[in-house]
This record gives sequence, C-alpha cells and structure tokens, in this order.
Amino acid sequence: MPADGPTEALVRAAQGGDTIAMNDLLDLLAPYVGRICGPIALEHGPDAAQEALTAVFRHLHTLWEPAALRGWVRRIATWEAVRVTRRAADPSGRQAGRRGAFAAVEVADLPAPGDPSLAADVRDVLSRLSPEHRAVLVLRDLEGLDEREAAALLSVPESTVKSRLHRARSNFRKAWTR
Amino acid sequence: MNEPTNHHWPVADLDPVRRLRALAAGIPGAVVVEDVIPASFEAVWGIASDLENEVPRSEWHVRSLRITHQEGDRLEALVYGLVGVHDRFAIVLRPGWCWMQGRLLLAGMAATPVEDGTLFAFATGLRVPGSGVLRPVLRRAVDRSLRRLAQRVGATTGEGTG
Repeated sequence: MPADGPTEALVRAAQGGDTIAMNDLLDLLAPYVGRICGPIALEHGPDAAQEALTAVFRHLHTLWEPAALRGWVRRIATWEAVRVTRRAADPSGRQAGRRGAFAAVEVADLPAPGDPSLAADVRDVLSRLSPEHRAVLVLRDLEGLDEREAAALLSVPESTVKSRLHRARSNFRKAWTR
Repeated sequence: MNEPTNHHWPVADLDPVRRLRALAAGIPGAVVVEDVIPASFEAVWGIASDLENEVPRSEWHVRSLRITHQEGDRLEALVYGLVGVHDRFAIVLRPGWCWMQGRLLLAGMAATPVEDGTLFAFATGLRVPGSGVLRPVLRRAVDRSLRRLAQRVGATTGEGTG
C-alpha cells in the first residue's frame, strides 16, 4: 500500500469518526491483511485476518503518523496470524510464550523442483513450517524485508533463525522458480 | 495495497460478516448481533437490501427512507422518523454488505452463505461521545431487527423461521 495522500486523508477521516472512511479503509486493508495472514495462519487465515483488522480498527486512533500505516498494519497482521495459529494449536495457551521456539525445517522435506502441482505445493511446504518461520518467509519474500527487519518485527534474535531460514528459503525459492 | 501478488501463496479471504465485526470494533459503543437465517443468501439479501421498503418495515422509529442519489455502490438517502425528524445518510451498498452513516446514527448489515443458510449480522452505533452506556438498548434494537428480518424472509420464501 503506498503511503499516498488519499490514503493518509482516509486514515485521518477514519480517526475523526467518519465511518464511511473506515469502510473505505477496510476495503483497502482487507486484501493486504489477507495476503499476510493467509500464508502464516493457513486454514486459520480468515480468523487471523479478522483478528488483525479488529485490532487495526480498535487501535487506529493510536496511529499518529498515517504514512506509517502499511508497516503498522503489517506488524499487527503478522503478530495476529502467529498468535491465532498458536492458539488454535494449543488452546490451553501453554505455548503462548514460546515465540522464539522455531520448529525444525529440514530441506529434504521441501518438494522437488518441477513438481507439477505448484499451488498445492506452496501450501504443503508452508504447512511443514512453524508459524514463525512462515511469518519470516512472508515478511521477506512477499513484503521484501531483510532478515534483520523481519527478526525485529517478530522480536526474535536474528541469529536464531538466520542460517536455517536461509537454507529453507533458498530451497523453497528454487522449488517454485524452476 | 494494490501491488502485484504471488498467486501461489494462500490468501485469507474475509467474508462480509467478518468485515463487519472488524469495522464495528473500531466504533465505541457499537454492537453487532448475528444469526443464521435458514434461507438462501439470495433470498435473505434480496429482502434486506431493499432499503426503501424494508427499513421502515423493520425499524419502528423510521417512517420512510428515500434514496436520493446513487452512483455505483454509493447511495444517499433521506430518512424520516416517526416524530418528524429527518436525517441524511451516506450508504455503501453491495451484495452482502451495507453500511449507513447519518448525523447521529450508524447502521450496518452483512451476510454470507453458510452450510445451513445465511449468516446475517446487524450492527448499530451512535456518533455521540459516551454512547457505550446505551449498548444494552442498541443490542435489543438490533436483536429485534434481526428477528423481524428472519420472519420477513420466512413469510416471503417459506424458508426462514417464524
């Protein structure tokens, strides 16, 4: 989403209580949030997207700089997608504090290059990763953040994920581009 | 947010009811009620979206609603209340989605097909500070609106509940 004048005006109007502007902002944000939450939360994507947009609108008044909308929404959507997925896997909440506990990703589990069912394979590969891994892949491959930025957004040490993620991402990309 | 997407990555779709829940969360004091109406989406939305006929029928305080302007999914309407007060509403109306904003009153409707019928949601709120104290009153009002709509659908199609 470009931080353009009309978008900033929309945010200001929505913050001022214009609910038609909120409606228009929702139209603008829903596809973006869906693209972030879908690959991270998979089957819980709609729940995650709803939670993310609920948080966005509930806290919109705290966004002081409308030009920062995209980064702010990206952070909320990523966190909500990981949280909703973790909650679904562990309703008791015992895993809630284990954001840094990344699951192992074995390169051998990734599909071979040239696999014919490409779209299905992306989902299959994503399903083998932890939500946090998926979040970093989304932030890097779809959002264009570098590892430092992605790790910072997720509040995890860059060193924890860097080498393993680099291997996974490299093979992941090869599988889709060949 | 219209940049090109990688079509192989899964995308989370947000149906209109989920959108309405999210939007209402940003409006202090707003309430949302929802229920499944055992009728097809087309039957339910066909009635609910007929604003000029259905709003006065389902809202006791509305004498008439007249659409004065329409351009795409954007409408303007003049709403006359029972005691002669009138208000001009800006409306967004599209299949499964309606959002209405007047000077004081907000109202929304959303519908999406589900396995056993149509999940329908009503939302309402007031554009006045401190309107949260009126939430119980607003909730009863939209509960009533939802029941009336289900009855209307049932009476019209023979599918809804009575």
